[in-house]
Amino acid sequence: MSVEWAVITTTIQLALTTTLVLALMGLPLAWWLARSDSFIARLAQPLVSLPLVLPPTVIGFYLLLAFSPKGGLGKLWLTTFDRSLAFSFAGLVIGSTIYSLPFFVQPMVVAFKQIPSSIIDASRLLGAKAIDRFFTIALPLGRHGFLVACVMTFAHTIGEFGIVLMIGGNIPEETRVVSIALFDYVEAMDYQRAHILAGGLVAFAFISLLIVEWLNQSHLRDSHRRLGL
Amino acid sequence: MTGAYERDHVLSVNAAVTIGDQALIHCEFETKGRGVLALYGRSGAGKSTLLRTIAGLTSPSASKGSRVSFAGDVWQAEGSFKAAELRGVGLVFQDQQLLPHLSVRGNLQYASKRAHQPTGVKWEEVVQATGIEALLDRHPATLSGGEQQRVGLARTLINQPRLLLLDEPLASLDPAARQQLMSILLRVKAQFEIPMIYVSHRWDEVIRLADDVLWLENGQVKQYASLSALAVDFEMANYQQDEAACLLVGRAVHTDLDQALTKIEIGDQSMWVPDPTLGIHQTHRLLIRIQNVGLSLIEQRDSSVLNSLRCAIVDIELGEATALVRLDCEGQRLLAQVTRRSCERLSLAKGVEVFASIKASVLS
Amino acid sequence: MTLFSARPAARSNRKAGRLLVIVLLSCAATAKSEPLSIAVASNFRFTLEALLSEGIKAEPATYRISAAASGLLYAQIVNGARFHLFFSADEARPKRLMQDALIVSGSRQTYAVGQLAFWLPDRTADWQVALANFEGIVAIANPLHAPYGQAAKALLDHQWLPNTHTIVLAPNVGVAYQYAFSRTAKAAFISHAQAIAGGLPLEDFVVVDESVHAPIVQQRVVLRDHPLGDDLLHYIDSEAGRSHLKRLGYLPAPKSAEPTL
Repeated sequence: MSVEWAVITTTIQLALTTTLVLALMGLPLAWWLARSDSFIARLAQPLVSLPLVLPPTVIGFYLLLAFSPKGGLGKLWLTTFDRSLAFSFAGLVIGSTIYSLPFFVQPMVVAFKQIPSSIIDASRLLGAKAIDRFFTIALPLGRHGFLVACVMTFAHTIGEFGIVLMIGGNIPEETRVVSIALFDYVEAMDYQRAHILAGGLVAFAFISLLIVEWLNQSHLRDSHRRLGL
Repeated sequence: MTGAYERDHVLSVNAAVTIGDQALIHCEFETKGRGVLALYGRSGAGKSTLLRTIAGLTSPSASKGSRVSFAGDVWQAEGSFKAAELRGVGLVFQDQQLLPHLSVRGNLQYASKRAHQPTGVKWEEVVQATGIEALLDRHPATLSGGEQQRVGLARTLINQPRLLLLDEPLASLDPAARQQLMSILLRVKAQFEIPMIYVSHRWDEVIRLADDVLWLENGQVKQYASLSALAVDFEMANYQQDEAACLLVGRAVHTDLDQALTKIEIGDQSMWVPDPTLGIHQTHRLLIRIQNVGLSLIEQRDSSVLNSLRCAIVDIELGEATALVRLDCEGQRLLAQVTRRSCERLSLAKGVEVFASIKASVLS
Repeated sequence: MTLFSARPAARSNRKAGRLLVIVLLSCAATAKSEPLSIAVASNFRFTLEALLSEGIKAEPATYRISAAASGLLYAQIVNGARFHLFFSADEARPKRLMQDALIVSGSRQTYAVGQLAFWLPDRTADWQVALANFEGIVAIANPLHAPYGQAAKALLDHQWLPNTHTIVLAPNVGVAYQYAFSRTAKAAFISHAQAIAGGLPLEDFVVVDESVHAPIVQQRVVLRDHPLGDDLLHYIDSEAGRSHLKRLGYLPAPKSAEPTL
């Protein structure tokens, strides 16, 4: 029974890249959402949560239109990189980033909200400006939430299906990921291979959740130690 | 008399803070530009809110219409608001907000790197003044309340603020730690020249540290005067009741180790206080509870009370059962609380010379 | 155990008997009024609805359609889904169901033969030139499990588009259609039925001659009997049904369509 290793490496690459992209843009976004009271911030919150309630096929459909050479994003990509955005790994990364956005941002917002305002006030009075506070207060104190957010994002992207189905193109070593391969095997009535992949996904999901649980426990222990409990 | 230094450190405030449709504070004042201004009043009077507004931590919308400026630098006005991090003001909180992910040394370095002005305060000076040498490599979570407050104070000082705000820094400490921190504050006041605004609802703290007092009630200024004036103010004494106290300032001249007493010179007169540790030739503040002052028409020599000072009555306020008598002793003002009956019996009146028997305790 | 208390025996028995018949008949009647449950491959769904509503004029309340990928429907049926009819996009699934002994004996039959179409929107030259010079992305359904995709792949393997081009696999012909529609792919192999249903301009697509690839045989099976189901199947086999399918873009099933074993 041969295993399609290329499918697994592509899937892991996609999950890692998406997590990295979300870490870079999601951290400042989460910090702003956690601390800003502005009208725009309050509007942005439900926008960020939107991918949670939209069916992936809807997101995929709109992305398909956006990625086509006639669509805004697709046209820009074509002129900049001379490559099609649809059916590309880059296109999948964009899709996954949108799809997993709430899975990264929401735990980060919670973690950032837990930083006491008084600590931030103290750092402000010591002369720390906004960007300074982000790097010297938010990031160090939001460490734990960051780890959880990364694990959640990674695990969620591994399981992504609907969007990849629409905009991926199922290209081996580029956009053919585990969930697509699983779908193909079921369609082709190759249940043995399907079982292997599905079992692998379940095991992976379970391990991810165990890691999150372990992270939460150790953070709780650290907090208790710090409080002298 | 305002010289260049004072002018460079005058804080001008016209604060109006509302939450919803409730006005929290509405007051206007200007500091002298040096020394310690105490914001005094009962809990909920708006002292902390006022402090936070000065620091720039109250949102512009809540403090709309307020004007705050320091040494000509406008911090808040109609249409402009300088962010807290740009004001160069230091704030020592009631519960120290030490950065939990850094050691004590790390906290100090954090502050020192972001110093508001390049001059003055050195690392060693601050560490010594606050007595935290032994704590430098510890982590905030492992420190006691008093230790955290000392570190917090050190951190604020190392940050070189132009104005130092303190929001009830002693409130959450036990008596021993409170004593220790107060000594440090007095030391800091003497050693580092930073104007301070000190918030407290405890008169014994105010009387030790302050030079001027802003008395706040319901968010508004009730009285604004020097400490020595308010210490003998009738309204203040009535408000404070059992806590009422005034002060005398004198120079220590002689220690009697045998009897554990120190002789303090007050003008041409002198007093004995039961503390042999006072530094000779140094000025000290003596706390005098107004209930501990007895008046007599003749000098008391055969009494258990050590001190009998010749004073002149300046003013009397008669109450139902008690009377407040304001005295002048060697140019300083004192307050005594006696029974009305005694007042009448001794025919105490303005201008009458009396002898005050004083049980004093030392403040510094 | 008697249902009634002491009554003259003979009379009560007759009454009981009549009651029982009425109850049984109403059960049967309820069974008859159970809606027809049809599992259909997604790409045949709209055609099926046309056959039901225009062909046999069935009331919408009398039938229920579950459209999905044929493989998923197969998996559901094998795990106990209670459909009456299954219209697959191929013959492989119906064959497997027959082997699994899940169908009404002899009910595996071709209902239509699919026609492949090549859709090239924004065509600038005439067909011969356009096909010869085609380069770019062409979308096909995944040949691994979609018969239209298999046919398309066979064509492409035989240099139907001689110039270098990129093949993108869509999960089904529906998505292949979307790729061409959104111009993400320059062209797509879709079904003739889709071209008709989508109202595509005739100059934009060409129907592939069925002799060039293996026939796209689409078969159905009966899983449970239902009178409306019978009506539908008779219509499809009838002349009226066959010409209806032809109008919608399918080739009729071979006339000598004996139940295949």
